[in-house]
Amino acid sequence: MAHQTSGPRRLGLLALSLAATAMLAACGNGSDDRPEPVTKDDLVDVLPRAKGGVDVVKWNLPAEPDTLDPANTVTYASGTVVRSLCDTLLTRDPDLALKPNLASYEVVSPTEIVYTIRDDVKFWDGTPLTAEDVAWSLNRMRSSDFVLSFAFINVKSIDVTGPDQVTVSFSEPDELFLNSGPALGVMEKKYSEEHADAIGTPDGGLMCSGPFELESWSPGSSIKLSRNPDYWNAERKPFAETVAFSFVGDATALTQALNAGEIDGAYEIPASAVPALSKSSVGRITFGRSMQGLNLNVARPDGPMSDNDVRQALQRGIDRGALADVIYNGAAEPTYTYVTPTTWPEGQKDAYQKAYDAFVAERKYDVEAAKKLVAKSGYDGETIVLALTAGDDTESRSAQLIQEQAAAIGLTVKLKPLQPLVYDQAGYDAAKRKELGLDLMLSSNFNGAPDPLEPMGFTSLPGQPYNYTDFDDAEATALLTEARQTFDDDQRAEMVIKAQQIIEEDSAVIPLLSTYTTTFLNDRLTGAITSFAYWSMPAMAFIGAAK
Amino acid sequence: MTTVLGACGTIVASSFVIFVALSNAPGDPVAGLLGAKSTDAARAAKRAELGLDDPLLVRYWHWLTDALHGDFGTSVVFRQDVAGLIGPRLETTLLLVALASVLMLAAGISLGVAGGVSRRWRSLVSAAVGLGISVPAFVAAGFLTSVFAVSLGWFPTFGAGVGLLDRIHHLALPAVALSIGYGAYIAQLTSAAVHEESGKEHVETSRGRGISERRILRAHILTNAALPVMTASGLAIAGLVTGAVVVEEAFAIDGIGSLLVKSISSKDYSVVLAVSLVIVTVFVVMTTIIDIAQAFLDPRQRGAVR
Repeated sequence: MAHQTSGPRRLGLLALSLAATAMLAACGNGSDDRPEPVTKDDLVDVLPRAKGGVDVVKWNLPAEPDTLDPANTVTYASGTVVRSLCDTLLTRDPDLALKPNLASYEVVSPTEIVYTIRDDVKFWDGTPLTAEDVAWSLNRMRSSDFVLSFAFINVKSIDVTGPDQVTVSFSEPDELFLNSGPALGVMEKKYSEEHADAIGTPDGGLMCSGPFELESWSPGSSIKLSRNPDYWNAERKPFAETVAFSFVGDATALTQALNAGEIDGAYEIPASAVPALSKSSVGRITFGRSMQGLNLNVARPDGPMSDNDVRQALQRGIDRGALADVIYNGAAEPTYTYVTPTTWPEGQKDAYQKAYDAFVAERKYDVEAAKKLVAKSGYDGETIVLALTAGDDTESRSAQLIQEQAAAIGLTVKLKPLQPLVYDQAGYDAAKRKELGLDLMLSSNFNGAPDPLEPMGFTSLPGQPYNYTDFDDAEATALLTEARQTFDDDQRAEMVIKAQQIIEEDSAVIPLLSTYTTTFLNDRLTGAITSFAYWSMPAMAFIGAAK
Repeated sequence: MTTVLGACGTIVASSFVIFVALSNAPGDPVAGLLGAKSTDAARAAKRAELGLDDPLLVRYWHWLTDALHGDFGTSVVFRQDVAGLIGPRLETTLLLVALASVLMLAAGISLGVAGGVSRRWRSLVSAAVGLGISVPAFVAAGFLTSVFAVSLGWFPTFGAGVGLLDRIHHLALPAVALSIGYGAYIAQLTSAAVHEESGKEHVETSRGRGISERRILRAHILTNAALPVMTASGLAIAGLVTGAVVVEEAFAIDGIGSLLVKSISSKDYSVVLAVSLVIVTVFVVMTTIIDIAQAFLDPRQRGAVR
């Protein structure tokens, strides 16, 4: 029997190595004339314009959307689909600048914005868009049932004030609301009321005015869109007759489907798939600017992380560059303030850059300096518990690297992977964080708008959901509140930068990476928006034939 | 009658255990529905709307009485009727399991018989068995896709296809990946059973009487070896249903396996319960069929099943 037991084991190894060879062969058929893998020097916001129409674009989403209701559109997947179906009030350029869309806007007073609705827009069923539809859609989103309601906290009323006019009044001035415009999708009131309970589900569908119409949603397998032949916006007339969305979540399966040409493209390519796909012989990978980031949030006001010297030590003791290169395969760059440089408003970049450079110098990777900070602190060897979402390979490897680097400067970090729902709950429930004994949470997040107020408000104002350390600084609060009420961009930037100085000193969030939007597109196609602006635009309308 | 009652009892008891386990598992289903930027008030209202604040037994009772009327509730995540959510996916999974069963039985039994009767084949079969058991389904999935779908382009890399022929084309590689492990197990078991039977006294006697090997194999060895092989096959087919979870994920197939994984992670109670019950039911039905079939094949057990 002895020879028989060793036989299968050897054969098993042989099979594995055969499998590995076959995989290498499958991945390695990129020839030498392929361009070099992209780097951060080649950040691209949009690919060359499409040359002509195509029958179908097969696009992958990182997961199946749970709803297509524009009021609940907050995930990568639902955003990608809904923006191509439902026109938003305002929109963005590929360089993330705010632009009119269904409506133009005027800030008539600090507490009043008037939107003027276009008169040439029709819903898919031919009904013209009215101010009533817009007001109804916005009022519906205010209900706390919907995820986007957070954008409406300062809204007092939304009324039709003219045949083509909707006025939004605020209880206090709110610059941030304006910036949320590209997220606010407009639906036809009549259809939506008739299908009230089923809006955005596979049964109820939608009635919008976007460049594509929702053709079908087969739960679990695909969502199909077809071109809206009467679309009003010539700049965004679709090149594709139809778009077929698939929901392949597994990185290996996705890589293979893209390499086989069965799927044409995808946003949010997992970092682990970047090396294989950058050698692809059928398409190309692109890195684009993005408002996404990876951070370590201090999870509670007490515990070992309450010592600011320990926080500063972590700022200096983590090699962000290694994290970006080794774990993200170049699809990210180090970031040194909670507000990532891509979130800076276009016109105020110089002012922000100056403030930022000081932090880069102060927080540069330096093991010796970090060790000194730990020695100086009151840290006595306690275990620091770092929570992360279970099942995310990239995050788990990032956490391991952080753990090693923390050990090198004398901090004992224990990793605590949490199931997604437990992690989400810990995200808003202080009692849960305490119960689980969390000291740090590794979190990836994204901002919908290039507006520093959005992320800073949530983490640094008293009583806000992500203010885990109970940070409460009167001056910072006053600055942020005033900034939100200020519509002059330069003045606002000045206030935000001042507030940032105070908030960053406290280091309740340790910024790590700004992650890029990673896109793959088959060589037969071009035109794709490759910055994170894709999420605020009907991204599928731009994709067409490369030749 | 007793059997049917017992089977129903098993299914109801399982539903209760799953219900309790799911309720006690950590994680707030509302977290996934409203997102982290929601207010406490909105979350409380949602909890009340979904009936999550009722006592456990009350919630279970509501679920059970509805389920007995054929109403398995609404998915909180997809806001869709559970039956409508499961129906098309169940079709896909059953087709996948059926294909895998055919492959598993055909390959497993023929390899097993060959290995059982022929000394020459024996080591080859046991090598194949070792290989089959040692390769996990998701590794096999990656290997099969990279060779037969990406390099050779014979099969699609993902999805379940539309229409019967296209579906079989799509599900062929997943079915191979799924059947390898249990196929090896069936081959191993068949080989052992055939080997054992062929060494029995009455077989030797028959050989001594000059009866042809072929007839001995059919009349004595295979008939007697069939009983354990059949029992194992029934359980293996039921096992394929659970094994489908991994394979469906790897090939991005929208079956009930991938639905179960997704629903568990979002605590979509009604979907998890319904899918789990489908799986429990398959097990109960398979074991009942095995019991009945055994009674027919084995005279000693006749009368044991009423």
